[in-house]
Amino acid sequence: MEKLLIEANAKGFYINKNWSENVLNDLNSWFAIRTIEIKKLIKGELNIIPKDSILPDLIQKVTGLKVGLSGSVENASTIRRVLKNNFISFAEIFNKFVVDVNYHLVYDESGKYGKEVMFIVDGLEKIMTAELRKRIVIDESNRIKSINANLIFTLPIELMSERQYLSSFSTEKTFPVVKLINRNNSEIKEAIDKFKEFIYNRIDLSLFDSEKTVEKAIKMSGGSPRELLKIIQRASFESDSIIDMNALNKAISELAKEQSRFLTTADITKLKELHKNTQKNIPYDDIEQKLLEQNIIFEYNDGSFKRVNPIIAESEIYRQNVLGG
Amino acid sequence: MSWEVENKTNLALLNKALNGNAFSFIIAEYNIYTAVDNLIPHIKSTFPEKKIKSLFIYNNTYRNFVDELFREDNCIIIIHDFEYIYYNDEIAIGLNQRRDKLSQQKIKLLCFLDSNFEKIKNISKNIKDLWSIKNLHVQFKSEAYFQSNIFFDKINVLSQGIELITSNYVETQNKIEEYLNQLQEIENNENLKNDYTLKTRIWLSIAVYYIQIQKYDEALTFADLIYKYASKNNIKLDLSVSLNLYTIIYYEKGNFKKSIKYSTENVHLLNTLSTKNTDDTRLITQGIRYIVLSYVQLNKQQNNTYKREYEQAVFELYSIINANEYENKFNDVIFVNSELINIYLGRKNEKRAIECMNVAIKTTIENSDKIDDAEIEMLIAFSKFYYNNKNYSKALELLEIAEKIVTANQLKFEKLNLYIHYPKGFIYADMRNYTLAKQSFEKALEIITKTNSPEIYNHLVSTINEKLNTINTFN
Repeated sequence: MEKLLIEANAKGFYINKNWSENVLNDLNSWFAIRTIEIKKLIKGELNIIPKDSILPDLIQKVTGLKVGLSGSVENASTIRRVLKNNFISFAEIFNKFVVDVNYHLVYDESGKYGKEVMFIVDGLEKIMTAELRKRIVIDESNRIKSINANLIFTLPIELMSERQYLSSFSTEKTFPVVKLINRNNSEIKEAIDKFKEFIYNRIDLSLFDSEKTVEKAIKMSGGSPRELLKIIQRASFESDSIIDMNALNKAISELAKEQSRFLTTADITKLKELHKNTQKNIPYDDIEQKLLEQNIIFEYNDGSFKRVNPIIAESEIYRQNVLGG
Repeated sequence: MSWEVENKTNLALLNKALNGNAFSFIIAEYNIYTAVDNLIPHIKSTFPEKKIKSLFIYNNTYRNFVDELFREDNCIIIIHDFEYIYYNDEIAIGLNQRRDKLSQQKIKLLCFLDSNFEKIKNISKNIKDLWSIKNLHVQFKSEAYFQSNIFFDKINVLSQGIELITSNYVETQNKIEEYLNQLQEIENNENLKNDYTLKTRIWLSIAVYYIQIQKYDEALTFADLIYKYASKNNIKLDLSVSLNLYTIIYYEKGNFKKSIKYSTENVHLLNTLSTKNTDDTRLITQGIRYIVLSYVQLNKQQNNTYKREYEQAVFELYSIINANEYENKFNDVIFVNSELINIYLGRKNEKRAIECMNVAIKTTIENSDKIDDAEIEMLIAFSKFYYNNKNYSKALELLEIAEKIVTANQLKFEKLNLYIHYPKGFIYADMRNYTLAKQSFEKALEIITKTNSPEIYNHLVSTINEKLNTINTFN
């Protein structure tokens, strides 16, 4: 919200617009009342409005509360409690504000600023604990729903198990890793070529002995750019000059050992199930979720097609226990 | 074989990861501390132009740690005790959250990590984001059982992967909870709140339980309570109890100098007590055992700097044991003889070392119904000694003795069976008896499959399979 206010202010959306001023006045009053309420409740002297700010009054109030949230735990929970208790009235005013900003966007002649406000909540994985992350998404869902704006929540993979609940009020879209191989094992040339482009934008082709080596590295990545870079970096460590097939194979074998080190009996059972059912979907459970989080398996298409990470498939333990038995 | 030659491949990988200026996050896993002692000078000599900075997680605050971390650019930062991130949520969460900022630093973050399967598994979960950008994970390990030349590491090597406390963890925590509630009740009871004998007993129980579940800082709080009250009122026995707790806690926390300090103080105190009964002798020998063990660890860390003090403690222990008779003395006899073997092997006096070995073996056989895992491990380690000297029949004989004891006490030692059949495979393979070697390795694999968590033995499984493949080509 702070960002939106600053942006709207910078673009001059609120100059001489009577209706906008009303909406802003409402928001301003709401924050003013809350600020007084919070000041009464918090212990000690706490100036939650930063001094010498050049921002307009409302932005100062919003920023002030944000600064207060990063203060002492006690004060932060007081601020949170007050805001939560008054959220319904806030949502009502804020929704008017969103409509107002959208109005300005639609009629902005330059057409530079898009059509509608959209909020993106990213970086949730940086929240302290998995429990807290879950609480934000699940416990706060009613509050989230009461804001009438487009909202994209990038969910950490561990919260994908909540997808059924989330889909009751949102559209869930999986962004899988890039599919390089179809269910029938045929290669998707277009995807492989895109990955080649991805590599050559970063590493000169002359640093590889041949394009075959590049292709193998791509296939071993399972369609995950991060895995691909990891494989190439490890291959470069294994080589004394350019990255050749020997260095790549050594890298694959070492990474396979390293990444399969923590596989449990339950993981192996799940991998066996997956291996036997390449052509059909297997039922989702906690083990599968864990394997996805740990990049032991990757999902493709809409998440329904899953495959073992090709690096894991190269490990001794996988060969013996999944392929062998 | 020199250390550099032995670790040539890993060192080459490490050098490449440390080269250049871009950010790298490197894990160097070790199971013998000498790896750290050897690696640091190696890095210094390979990158003489680079600034190297040491950081510790143990006893550090997040603020101080990140300030130090973000202060430097273009340097190698060595974190000596990365395993402590497991105990320090503040640093773990903070580093994980600031992963992106950290990766913009032009530093090489080299983290030494003590090899412990469960710990590493949990660390990788706790700092998932940071762990995912790991550039290199190298293992400086004397992993294959017979490759270790360090005799006194037998217990470390063999205990690796054996679950020690997990089954009783919840039960122990409940016990602690129960005692803490009792303490609360005592504090609220006017008649009992000044009953320090009762309180000391409870403090001791809580401290011991906390030690069992490896919560050493919490144990320390209760050891402090006993120490403060006992020293204020000059209750020598309780004082000795608290000193004993300090000795154990600091040893487990890896602060060996402090452990030695408290143990020495305790041994001195016990010597001044008028009633020198057998219990006191046992406590004195236990105290000296901790001194010996602490010097062993310090010598590992600091390249035998405390060799003289270590030897002195071993000989002191030896003379006390010889001069006294007390219950379960055999434990100390076996322990002191294994330490004497180290000393004599260090002095190249193999004849005397073998004499001590024979005393330890004889005592073990005579007390086979009372001995513990450590003694079986010792027999296996002795077998390793003979194997290294290519005396295969003696090496096998010792493993047979170990196996007999294990078979007679099946429930108690079941998990050790693996460490009997695994080396047997190597011995038979070297004797070119491939049929028996195969049988032994297959037996080891069978034991692994039957364990509750076979995955913790993945490293052994791959070594066995490699060996079996070689055997199959000979067959």
